[in-house]
Amino acid sequence: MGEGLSDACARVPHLRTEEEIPEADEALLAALADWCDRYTPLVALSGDDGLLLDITGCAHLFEGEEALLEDCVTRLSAQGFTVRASVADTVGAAWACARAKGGVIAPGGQREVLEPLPLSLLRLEENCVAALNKVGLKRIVDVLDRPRAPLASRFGGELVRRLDQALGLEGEPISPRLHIPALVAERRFFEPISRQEDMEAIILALGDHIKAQLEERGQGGRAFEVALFRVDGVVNRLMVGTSGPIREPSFILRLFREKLKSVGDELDAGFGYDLVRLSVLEAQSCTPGQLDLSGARDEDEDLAQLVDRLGARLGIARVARFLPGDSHMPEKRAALVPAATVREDAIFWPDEHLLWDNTSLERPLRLLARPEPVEAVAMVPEGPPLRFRWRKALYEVARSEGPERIAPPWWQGPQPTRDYFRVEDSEGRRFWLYREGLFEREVPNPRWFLQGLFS
Amino acid sequence: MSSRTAEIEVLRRRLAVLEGRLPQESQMSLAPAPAASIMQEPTHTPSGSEVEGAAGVCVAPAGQSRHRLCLGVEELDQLSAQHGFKLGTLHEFTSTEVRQSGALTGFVAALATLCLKQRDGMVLWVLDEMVQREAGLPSAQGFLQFGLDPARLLIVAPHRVEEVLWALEEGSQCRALSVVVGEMQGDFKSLDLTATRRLALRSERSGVPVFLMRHSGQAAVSAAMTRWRVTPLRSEAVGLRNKGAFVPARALMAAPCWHVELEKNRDGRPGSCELEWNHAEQRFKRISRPECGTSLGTPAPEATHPVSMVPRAGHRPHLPQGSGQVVALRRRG
Repeated sequence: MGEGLSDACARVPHLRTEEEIPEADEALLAALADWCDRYTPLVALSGDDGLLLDITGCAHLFEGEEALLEDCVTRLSAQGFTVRASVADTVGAAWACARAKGGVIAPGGQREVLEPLPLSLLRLEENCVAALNKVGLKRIVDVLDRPRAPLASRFGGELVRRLDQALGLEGEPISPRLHIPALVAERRFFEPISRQEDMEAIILALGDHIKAQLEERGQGGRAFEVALFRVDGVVNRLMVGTSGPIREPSFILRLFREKLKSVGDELDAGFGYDLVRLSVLEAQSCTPGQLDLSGARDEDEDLAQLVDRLGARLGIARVARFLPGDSHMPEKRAALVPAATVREDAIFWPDEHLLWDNTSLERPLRLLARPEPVEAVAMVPEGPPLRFRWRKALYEVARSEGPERIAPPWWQGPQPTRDYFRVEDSEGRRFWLYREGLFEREVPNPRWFLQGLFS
Repeated sequence: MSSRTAEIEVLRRRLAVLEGRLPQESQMSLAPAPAASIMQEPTHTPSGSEVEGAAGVCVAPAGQSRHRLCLGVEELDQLSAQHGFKLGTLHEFTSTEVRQSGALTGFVAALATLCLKQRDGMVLWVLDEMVQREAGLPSAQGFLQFGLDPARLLIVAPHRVEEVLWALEEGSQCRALSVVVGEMQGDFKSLDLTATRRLALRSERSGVPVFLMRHSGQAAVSAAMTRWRVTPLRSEAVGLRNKGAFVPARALMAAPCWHVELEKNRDGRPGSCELEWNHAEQRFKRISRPECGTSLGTPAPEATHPVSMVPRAGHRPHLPQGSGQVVALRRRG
């Protein structure tokens, strides 16, 4: 230890060396944390080499803390990890104990266990530990009963805080990695499953379970997640969102079926899944609606289901609606927002076209994703273009209307003014061009852009 | 007894519809009275003049209003067997070049606007990613001025063409939609007879029309009921009348206008027409341009042998008048 790599290689000729890749370690630890989700939803990373699990209220599902600990250690060892684990009342005690000897500490027994341990296990900074060692304080028992005030003033408040946290005199919350779901239903299998039909049946069964609980609360789910725990430790997560609260298992299944189709081959079942969990990430109060007496199906509901199905397969953001924006800039006049998240009454387009009665259309039917630069020739610098070249093709302008001047908001910094022209080429195609910048007042040579296409 | 004859009559009629040979007389007798009166109106107005048909709903016979779309232009509506175009099926719209996407979008948006007058619900507008990149997204403000409320638009932009087709299929099954519009660019292998057939069948079952726009698309095998080719038309000189004299204002652009060719029509005859869209009144208007010279059903005659041409697709119920005519041919030499 403490030798250079070349020295070590010289001493042990067949020494295997690997370069350290911190990102890969991080990813591995995150994957492990994912896997630990099977014990409790509250899993946090602790430093770069440990995991903290809050198993309050979960241990009885595994027949006690010892059994849980043993199960966890056995499974992780089977995956090829060297694990040291401990269960204790406080985070500090569990942290210290896992690094010392492991095992389960009885409730309230952290003081006895901590006493013989070295001070470095108190999660203190190195120079603090060195300073304590220098004055002969080596073990935790040496500082436990000393008066707190001199300790704090000499070695810093951190020492006292860590002591109190380890003993349970001061609370210490853990920050879980993942969002805590509102409701969870899961099923474990002795024999792993891998067929899609089986998974769908399980999702349906779990959905039934969740439906009962949601009904009890008078809620419906807006976002669902299926976590598939593979035998070899990989966790696959599928998430779907809905446009309104739902709790019918068949609807939930239909969304996940689309999701499974879109994921397709990326989802590798490997040797099968031994735990399937369905969780409601977001719940919302849901009032049951009155069905039409004639028994006709509600059209709004049909539409919401269509939006959900499309969103589940294509991604929620890809199913969008136009929300009016409060801006005069053409590209910001309308925003495409996910249809599942937008409120119906927010989408209101004022009947502006009544004002345009009997005039020509002023706005194009299509807007390009971003204005494309064109080479344009104009008779006078301020005038409409005579001809322009767009995407390598030359267009002769036969007619033009304009300019319509649109200036960007001055409070958003200096941006050039735009002069818009509606032009028609010799073959009847119509375009929306603009000149960026006022000639010689803002820019010496204004550039031309094509932003839209008229019908 | 009378109920029995009525029943037989209905069955006969259904059989005729199934075989695609619905006789004109029986339709007349069975159609509701107001519809019949409209049918008997003089159909051929002098060519060149504007046909002042009211917007789609009014012209459509009452019983068919939800299933047929009348464009309000008599010449085009006459092309289909039963006056107006069948809604619950697949229609294709093509343009020769992507840069004409404005014209194509305009015509389809105009049709969708007419559909929205007849049917409740939203418009599902599905775009391929390529179209988005080349021709851009529909613009809400533009559509609003054009007559189509953007609040009724549901834009879906999938990654791949297969997903576009899937989204269209999902949409064509949903009765809550009023129209489903799909946009693609170029020709795709996946857009074959099977795929279009699936779309058409689903659309027939639910009654939701599917408009498939293919930018720069070639004529391919497809199960669509009709295929239209849209080309932009130069605007005519918009002018002011000054004491009876026409003063053209050269700079001004006219209302959107297109040359629309109905290349394929399984429901009737093909034909072509020049159309203009009046966005304020939300209706089509027929225009005729002297320089274009083509009119419905009769292509421009050859200069050397002026022979009366027989219109295409003669086996359809609306038989052309000119068939069977004896024509004299000039002897050679």
